[in-house]
Amino acid sequence: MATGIGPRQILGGKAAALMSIAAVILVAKALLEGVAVWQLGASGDWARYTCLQVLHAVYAAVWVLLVLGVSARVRSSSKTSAVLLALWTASTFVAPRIAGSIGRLVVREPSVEEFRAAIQHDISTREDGTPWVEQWSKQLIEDTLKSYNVSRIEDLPVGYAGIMLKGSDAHYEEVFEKHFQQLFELHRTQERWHLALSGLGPTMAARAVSQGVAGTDLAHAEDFSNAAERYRRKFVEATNDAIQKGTKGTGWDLRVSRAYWESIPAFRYETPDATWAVRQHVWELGVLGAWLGLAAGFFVLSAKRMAETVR
Amino acid sequence: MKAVRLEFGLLSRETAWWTIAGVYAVLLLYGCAQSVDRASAQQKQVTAASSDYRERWERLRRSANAPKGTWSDTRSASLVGGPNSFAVMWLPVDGTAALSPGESLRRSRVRQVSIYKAEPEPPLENPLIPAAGPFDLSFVVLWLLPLGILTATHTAVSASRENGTWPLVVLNATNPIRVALLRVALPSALLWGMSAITGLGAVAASGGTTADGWGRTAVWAVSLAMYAGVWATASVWANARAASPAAAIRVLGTAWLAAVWIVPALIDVTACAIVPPVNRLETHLAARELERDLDEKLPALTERVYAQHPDWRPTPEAVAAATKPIPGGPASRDARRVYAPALASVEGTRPFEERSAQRTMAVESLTSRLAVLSPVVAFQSLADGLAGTSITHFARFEQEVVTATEAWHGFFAPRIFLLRDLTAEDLASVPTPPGGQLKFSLRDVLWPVGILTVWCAALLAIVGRGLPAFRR
Repeated sequence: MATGIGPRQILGGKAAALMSIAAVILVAKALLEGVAVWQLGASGDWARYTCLQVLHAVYAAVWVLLVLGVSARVRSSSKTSAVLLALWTASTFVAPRIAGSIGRLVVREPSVEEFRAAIQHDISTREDGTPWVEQWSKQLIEDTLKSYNVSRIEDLPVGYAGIMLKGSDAHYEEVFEKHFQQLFELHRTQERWHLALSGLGPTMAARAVSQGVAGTDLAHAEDFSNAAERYRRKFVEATNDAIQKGTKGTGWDLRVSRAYWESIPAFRYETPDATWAVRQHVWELGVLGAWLGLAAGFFVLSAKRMAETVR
Repeated sequence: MKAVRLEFGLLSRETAWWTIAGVYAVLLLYGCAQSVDRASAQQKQVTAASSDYRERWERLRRSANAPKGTWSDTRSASLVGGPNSFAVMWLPVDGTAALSPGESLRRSRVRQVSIYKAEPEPPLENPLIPAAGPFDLSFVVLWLLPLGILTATHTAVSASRENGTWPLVVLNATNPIRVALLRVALPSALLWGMSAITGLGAVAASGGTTADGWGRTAVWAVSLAMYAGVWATASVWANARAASPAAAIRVLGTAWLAAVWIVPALIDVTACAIVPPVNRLETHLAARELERDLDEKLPALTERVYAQHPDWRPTPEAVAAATKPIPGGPASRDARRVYAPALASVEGTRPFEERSAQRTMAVESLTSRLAVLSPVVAFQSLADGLAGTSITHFARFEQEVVTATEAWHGFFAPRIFLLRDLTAEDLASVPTPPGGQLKFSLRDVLWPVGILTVWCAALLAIVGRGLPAFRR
């Protein structure tokens, strides 16, 4: 100050210095990640890579502005360090854990035992409380015999086992679908709590977007799991169909050729593109943007206050 | 005593202290609520699993007198010993579980005893929660108690230095070192007291415990005092030796970050690098290889068993009855077709399971040795040991499950290979697995207690030399 440099210039210089330090770290990190993507990644990964670098630059900018704002506002340097340490700890370690745990405290998922028992109940029992398998089996045999115009299962021109497996699989799938959808809905409610609390610090929002861009978030896991389930169902349907067509009556033993197995396409999964990944995290991007705005506003206000104090 | 009263009065007028204590109290209560909730969820899981087991088996035993006569006949030995009729063993949970680190409370305490391979099922929780880490009592005392002590003691000691009143203290007090020590000891003791009382409350709120459990809780509280002591001593050292209060907080902040985050993470990484995890894919591939071309392998598999147990060979009548096609069902009720491959699969994957168990114990052993590097890891391991959630406890329990499973195979295998349907008497005499037992030994926690003691002693020795700095 004695040399005639104003507080704004000092803060501007410090901001530039801090950003330069952050930039060195960010560039080194970007180079290492670039090598990893180049060696291991797919073609679409460069778009995700770019998104990640922009995100990390924004996140670093939020902290640089916060550090400078606090430094300009708090007079004692030891208090500044203490406040910044507390802020960083709260944002990085405390807030994510609180946001993660509060959703579970409010919305509780069932235990494995409760979940399994509920599925088992719905598989084995009809809505009226009577056993599912007896009624269903009786009805299926009756309907099948009628549709093929025969009086015994042994006389069926197709394999009854295939028909039975198709029916029971459809029932199991319906029950599993119902319970897993309920579970996913619980997870989504917990996630909404998490999102609502992501404003507690910039770290949670940055981490969520980072996970999304890297393809390790809940949305990607669900997309993959749905694709795998669709494939499983097609595979089971094809096998049941082969049993139905390839056997007769009560026959169970079926030998299929190599051509049959080769006719079933291999499981292929296409990772969604970067735009889809970013679209899943619009809220968190908004939160991060708000933090950037807040940090910038706080920095400007602190700089003004510092200038007034000096005058 | 007068000095204590005086310093207590000064502390009670300090706004920063009230802010730190207030925030810490809120976080402590929230962490306590989470721990109690987790412990209660585990208690409920154990209760649900045990009552489900009892009900299933009562139904099975009743149904043995009234068989349904279809291919889902519950008298079939392979069905009874199988995936829907498994027995259950559990590791009991008492109130002290609330003191355990949250990660340990995520581990299921229920295991299936079955003649088929039964892996413990993962919890159905949202993947977001474990990704962020648990916020429980253990997190608060392991991570935030040190931070509370460091900031509160720094404020108490360095405030006078920063505002220039410390020279007055040096001039007026008969012993400025005692004043400085009191300024560190008082807030540290108060924060420790809050934590210890909350810990006791958490144990009580989680259903209480036995006299032995309360003894372990007392050991936890005393060890927590040592842990708090390590951080208070570190604070004395940094505040005495640092060139300025700002330098002191930077040193303390860095030490905290290194101790709670960097060193434990490095210990984990080192342990995993030295003892790499067993590839689960290898286990699955081994099991799949055994299941391939089953029809060709089946006679050899069953003959191998009959060679070892000639008295298990069924009569031709029993074979004819079992292989008679059932209308609307499979061509055969020959349980050996299901059990023989399952037995081979269990045997085939056993080496991987054993390697995996050995690896877990090796990591535990290595981590406990490396805990010398961090009082945080030492206290975490101590809390796990006292709460009955350590790897050692789980390993003992897994061994009990293995023994019970072997007894289960011993009961069902002869009946399956003899192609005998189970009678009501058989079902009544199925070996009931014993309830798991939490066995505690002082030896389990001696090592972490020793580490904490060494840390305390080493820091006290270092601090002793730095104390004269407070005379300036």
